[in-house]
Amino acid sequence: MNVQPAMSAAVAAQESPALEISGVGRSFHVGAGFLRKGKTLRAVDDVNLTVRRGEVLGIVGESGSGKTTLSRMMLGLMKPTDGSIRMDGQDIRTISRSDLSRKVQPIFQDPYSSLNPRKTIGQIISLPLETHGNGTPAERRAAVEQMMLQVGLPPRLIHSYPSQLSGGQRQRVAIARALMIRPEILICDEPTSALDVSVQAQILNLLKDLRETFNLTYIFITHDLGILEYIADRVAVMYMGRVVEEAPARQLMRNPRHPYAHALLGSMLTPDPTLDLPDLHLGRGFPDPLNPPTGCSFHPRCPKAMPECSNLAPKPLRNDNGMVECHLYREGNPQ
Amino acid sequence: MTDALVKGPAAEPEVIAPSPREEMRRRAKSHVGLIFGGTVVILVALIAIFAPFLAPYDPYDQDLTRRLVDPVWKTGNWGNILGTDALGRDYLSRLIYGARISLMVGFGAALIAGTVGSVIGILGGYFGGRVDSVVVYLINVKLALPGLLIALSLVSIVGGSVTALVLILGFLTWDRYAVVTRSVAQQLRGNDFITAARAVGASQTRIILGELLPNVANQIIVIASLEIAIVILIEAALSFLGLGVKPPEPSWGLMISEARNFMFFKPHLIAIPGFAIFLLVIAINMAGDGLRDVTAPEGRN
Amino acid sequence: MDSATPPILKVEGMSVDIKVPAGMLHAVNRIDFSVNPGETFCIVGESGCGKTMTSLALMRLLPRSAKLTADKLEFDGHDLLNMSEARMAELRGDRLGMIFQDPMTSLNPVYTIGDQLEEVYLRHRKSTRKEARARAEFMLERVGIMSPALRLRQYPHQLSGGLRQRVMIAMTLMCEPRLVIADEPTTALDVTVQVQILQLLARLQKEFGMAIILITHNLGIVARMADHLAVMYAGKIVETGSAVDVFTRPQHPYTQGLLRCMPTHDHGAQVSRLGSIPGIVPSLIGEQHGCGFRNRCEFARDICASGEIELRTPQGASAYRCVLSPDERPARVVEAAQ
Repeated sequence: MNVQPAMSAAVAAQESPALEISGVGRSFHVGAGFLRKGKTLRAVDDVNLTVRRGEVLGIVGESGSGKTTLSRMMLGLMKPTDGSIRMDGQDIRTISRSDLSRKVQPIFQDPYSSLNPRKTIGQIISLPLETHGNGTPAERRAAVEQMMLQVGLPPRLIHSYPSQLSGGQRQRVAIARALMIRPEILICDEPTSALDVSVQAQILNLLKDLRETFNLTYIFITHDLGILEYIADRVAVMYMGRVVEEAPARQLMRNPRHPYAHALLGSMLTPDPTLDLPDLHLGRGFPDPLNPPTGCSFHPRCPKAMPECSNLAPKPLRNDNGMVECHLYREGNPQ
Repeated sequence: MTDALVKGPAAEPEVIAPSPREEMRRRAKSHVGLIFGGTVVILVALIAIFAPFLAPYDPYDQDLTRRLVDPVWKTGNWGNILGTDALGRDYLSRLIYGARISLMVGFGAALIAGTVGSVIGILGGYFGGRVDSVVVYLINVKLALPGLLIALSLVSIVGGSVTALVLILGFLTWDRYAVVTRSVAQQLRGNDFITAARAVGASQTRIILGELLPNVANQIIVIASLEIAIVILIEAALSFLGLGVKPPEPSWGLMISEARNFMFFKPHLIAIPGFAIFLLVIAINMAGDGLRDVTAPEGRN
Repeated sequence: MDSATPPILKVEGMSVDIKVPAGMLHAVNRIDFSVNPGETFCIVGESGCGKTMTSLALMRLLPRSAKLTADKLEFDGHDLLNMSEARMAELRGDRLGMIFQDPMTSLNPVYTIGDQLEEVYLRHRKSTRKEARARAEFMLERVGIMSPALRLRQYPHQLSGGLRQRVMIAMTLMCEPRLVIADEPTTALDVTVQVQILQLLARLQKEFGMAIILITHNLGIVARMADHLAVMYAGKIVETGSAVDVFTRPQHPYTQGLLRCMPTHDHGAQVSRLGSIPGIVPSLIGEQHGCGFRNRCEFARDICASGEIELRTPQGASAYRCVLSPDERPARVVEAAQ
């Protein structure tokens, strides 16, 4: 996983993974004030992930799992407190803001707050070009119209305002904006959870098409495993800031190993009227992120918790196509 | 699955709402307060601009033989429609030129205060952290200052002129702009469109001017309209107290002050400039309220 | 659908019209349904289909600009349509409960959990503070909150989202309502918590024997919870029937389309494409003619644009509003993309 220092940058860019996250952590100090010592919130803790070019990595987790903090660090909008993030073998701390924006772009959850209400669709989509000073106004306009067609927006909407569009159309605008400077990686943070079911499917299909057209790598962050089953190649499951399981999507869906991944999978409600609500056997004790549980952070809710889970943090167990971090799985006992 | 069903992005991609501008225009058209207030303000502004063409006489021209002439409805004399004052100057001409002073002080001070306050507020709200601490400190200091007292003492030191009044009132009324723009900028900062602009590599200047400012502009205009009214009243009060515009300038406040001695014999000398101030201030307030109503519920449907 | 016991709620020809600057918005357009005692009735649809307006109309909590009309609106023998506001207030929280989507805004942040639970009980029952407190403690225990005595002294912000929704449910059940209207009760919650809350609702329903109207956009929830359901689109009920019928033999093109949009979980068998419904929801402002779904429907034809689409009630399947029966529609080019 380590890039040899001797390797030249060009060769590194050829052979290294699109994105490499090693030992990344981020802490926040909260509640600190005058004469008051705050507490440390460990939002992301020792995350290691590698994403190959053209791959779709799904990150699944619930609120407070640190998935959004991780996405902001991958975008370079927030600095990790520990570890490093590399793109094409280059540490993103050494990449300029402008170069980084050509490598990675975000798609956000809320298509209402992600578009400036005072600007026309044309202005919004051409912002990346203007920022980078690409092309003449006429060329930019042509590029915007071309992109609008590619994301399925009729070009006559170019002078409309976001408030005139539906949620799905807005999300298409956000996607068009992100693709204007041809980034390699798109970080999609719950891109469909604010949309209706029928529109969600439109957007997912579009993202799938665009991945082929533009040769994109996706980091797909969501709380909905069903979406990942459809779009992701590999899935990382996050719980309280840590990746607790990582596996190829199919494998994870067929055979989740971590009890939390199991619970997430069990929470997927397929529209089958013959089935009842699943029983997750989960504890209801919600851990306070400011006072995380000792040992494994999932043990207060875990149906398979053992005595050692409450005082000893499990070590990650890696194999060729993934990892799991749970006392149920150890070296020599890979069930 | 059929291709038509899968591929077709939006079979009938219609726009679901009128554009924000159309929407605003539509709301403005049915807003009585805005129409009335706006019309009066525009009329007064036109009168002020074209004062030299509209005023029948030179407002400074004294004719001591024609002192305290009654207005037309008492004398039937159309020469001096609103009569003359104690120095024989044409009252209508003074009233017309007085509009210039009121509006210049009002708009001038609002321009200065709006610029200073918005810059401070937007910087504090957008950057947060230490910058914001400084901004909050500045605002608190400003709020703790006895503004009117400082205005009075400064005017008495540097002397009253329109320029001095604009500067002094401008630097004494920026706090409300700062408070409001700061909180708006704070809300906007968390919006994803700001994050998106950062992610495409836009500079802070570009984000503030291109993304933030258009969203704060409405609020600035609304506060400005309300502040202009307040400043006009302060100018009138200062001039009335002899601490504002100096004679022989035709300020409305000064006109009331000069007419004090004849209050019981010639009440119209006070009533006319008094009514002018009242009308202008209430019109500006109505226009401001109207602007707020028309621009406020925006973006969401 | 009709059994020996009369329905607890009977809605006939209910409409909600909202005056907006651009004209009259027909949010709910002459809908009929009935809910049997003790059953779960789901109203499912996407944003803007009128499902939330329906729930507010049933509680008579519509915004001032909205006008409610109906041929019949009967709850447990009471005429909700012409009931005085004072009588309605007595009914709400007593025999008619409501659970909202966001438990944070529906609990008052300045009162303790205990104050708010007891208040409901004191308002509707002649009882002492002490009895009310005992009842509140009992209810918190029933909704699975540990150490209820301690929780009663806490404020809403001290609880997690899942706990707040449990408190909300406890509050709704304080007076053992006959009917609970739950509008997207789990949408704001994490997926694992969602399942737990739904399980809780189902268990309490058995325990207290109340009927539930569950309003949601999530077809998975509907399938697992509903006895009967109504699919709403553009202010109308386009299909209604038992859950088994609707999910196994959907009749209306919209219901069929919705079900194709769901990513199905086939234990790893990846689908290459999801079905989707092209286009967007029509404007509900102004006169509504014909079928509201026609601009997105692959089978649409001229007759869809005019008149009222009749409700068809086939044997052994759900009732639906479409001019074509499923057999009359042209066969789809089946799974060509795959």
